[in-house]
Amino acid sequence: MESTVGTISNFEKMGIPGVGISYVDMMGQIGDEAIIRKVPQCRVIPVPRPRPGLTAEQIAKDMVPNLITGLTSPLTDEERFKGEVVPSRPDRIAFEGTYDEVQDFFIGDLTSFVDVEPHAKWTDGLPIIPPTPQKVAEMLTGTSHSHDEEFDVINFEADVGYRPMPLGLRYDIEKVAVNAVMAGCTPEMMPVCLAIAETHPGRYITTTASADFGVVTGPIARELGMASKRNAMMTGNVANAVLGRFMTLFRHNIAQFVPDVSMQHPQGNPLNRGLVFAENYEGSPWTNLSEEYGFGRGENTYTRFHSKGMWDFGVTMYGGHWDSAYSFVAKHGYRHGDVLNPAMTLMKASGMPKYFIILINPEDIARMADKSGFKTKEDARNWIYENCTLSYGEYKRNFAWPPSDWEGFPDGTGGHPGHQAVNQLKDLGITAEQVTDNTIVHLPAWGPDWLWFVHLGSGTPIPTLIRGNHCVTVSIDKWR
Amino acid sequence: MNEKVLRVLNPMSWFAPFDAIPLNPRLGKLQDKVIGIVGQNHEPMLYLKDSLRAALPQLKDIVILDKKDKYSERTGISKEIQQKVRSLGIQAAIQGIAH
Repeated sequence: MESTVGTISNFEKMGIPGVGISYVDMMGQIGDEAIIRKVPQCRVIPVPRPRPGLTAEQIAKDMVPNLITGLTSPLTDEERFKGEVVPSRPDRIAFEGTYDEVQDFFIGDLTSFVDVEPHAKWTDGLPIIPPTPQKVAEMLTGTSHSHDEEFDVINFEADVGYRPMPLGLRYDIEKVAVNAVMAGCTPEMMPVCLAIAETHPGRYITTTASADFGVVTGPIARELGMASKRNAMMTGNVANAVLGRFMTLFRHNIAQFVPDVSMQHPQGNPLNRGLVFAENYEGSPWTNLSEEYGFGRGENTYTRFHSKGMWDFGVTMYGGHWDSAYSFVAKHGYRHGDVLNPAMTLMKASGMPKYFIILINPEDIARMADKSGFKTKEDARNWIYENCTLSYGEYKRNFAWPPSDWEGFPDGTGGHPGHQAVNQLKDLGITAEQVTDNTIVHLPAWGPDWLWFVHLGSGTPIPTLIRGNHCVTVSIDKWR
Repeated sequence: MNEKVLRVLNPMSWFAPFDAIPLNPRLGKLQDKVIGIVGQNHEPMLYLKDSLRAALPQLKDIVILDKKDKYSERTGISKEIQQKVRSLGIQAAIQGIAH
């Protein structure tokens, strides 16, 4: 849908009259998207989804008269309007009522959903702390920034290369405080909430299992009581829970994601329930996220990652602990780096092997630095990239979303992982004529820099592999 | 506590002011030129070309500009589509169901 309106705006800018088509159950958001894309009057034809008794072919026939009308009927005065549009802002006070009435108001009318599952209007489905003026004022004491300082919600395209671009939605610091109160945060958490807001993209449409999670690095994590060790991603830690919930409410209310409209994955991604945890880097010889992205080791930063699925993989597959793992690899003549083989097996099987994140505890890292020679993140990254390979034939077969032009050896433009694999081959000097099903493709398909390590957890050597990518690391302290 | 009346603040963001892109004048009636279709991601789109052809036999051609939607906020529609639009003299465009 975002593409529908966006493409029409491009055609109209090129001087070509355009009409879009959207499923009827998605039309509710077309108006908002049209504002974001600056074509508030764009013409979009609603059509039903195919179902028993209504074929796709019939739907195509039925839509033709409306399409012709959309392309030929004269413009109205509103459609001809050229100039600045100033949408109205919502009233600051949303509602007055008792505690129970406030909860009902934020949930909204769940009986109005017909074709999609019901979802709450302004919450994640759970009861909220009522954001009264007093509570919000208390929350605002957690930052020196003014309550009326305004920001643009950034566009998702910022994810690639992280170039913040306005989406067309705006918010101020008071809105962040409102959602922080609703989530159960304390004023001391406000700088982290503002860092989450700074980095979180606005609404985009996807049928993939897209989600975000955040990592707090630095001493503020301990000050807030955040969890970073065993079970850090589990429930029960208050700071992790409410900061994760803030991210969810920010996504819902400020970034304006809408379940079943902007998020269309068939099953949904539970990471969208909000995951924020602290980095456990004490004792690790590797750089933490602050250092990796230009800050000091002790500086407080927030890192946003984009993610799809996650799997744990055990060094335990080699006997339950590091000593047995290294004994095993020695006995069988494997290299010491092969303790990461379980991760690489998962990477190959992931379906879209373009980028990955490994969550791993500092004890494991210290052991690998000692035994495998991975003194730095780069050592481990490069070893995996060198040794995690698929044949071009396997890549094609395993890849969940093959481009239509596989056989044509596309020119490698764009960010499609298939294209990136082809680029990789070109970098090796392999021409289209030389590519066979046996040609080697390295993973992550986007290159060794598209693999991140995050210090997390403690105890048993079972790291976690996530199909996802780093987006941006920002200072938390600037929001104090 | 339950009977106490609370005032609560609105948590939603708002739309920024913007300069509207006016729509191009419509055609009155479709001429003997090409129509372009972008986006073939969903099944009804596979039948649209034939349905349009049946309803508009006067059209010189109906061109599938791109099977996949390649819209990007950063770059707009792809250069490939823009070149096709210009070289074919397309009179109107239809964006198919994208998601």
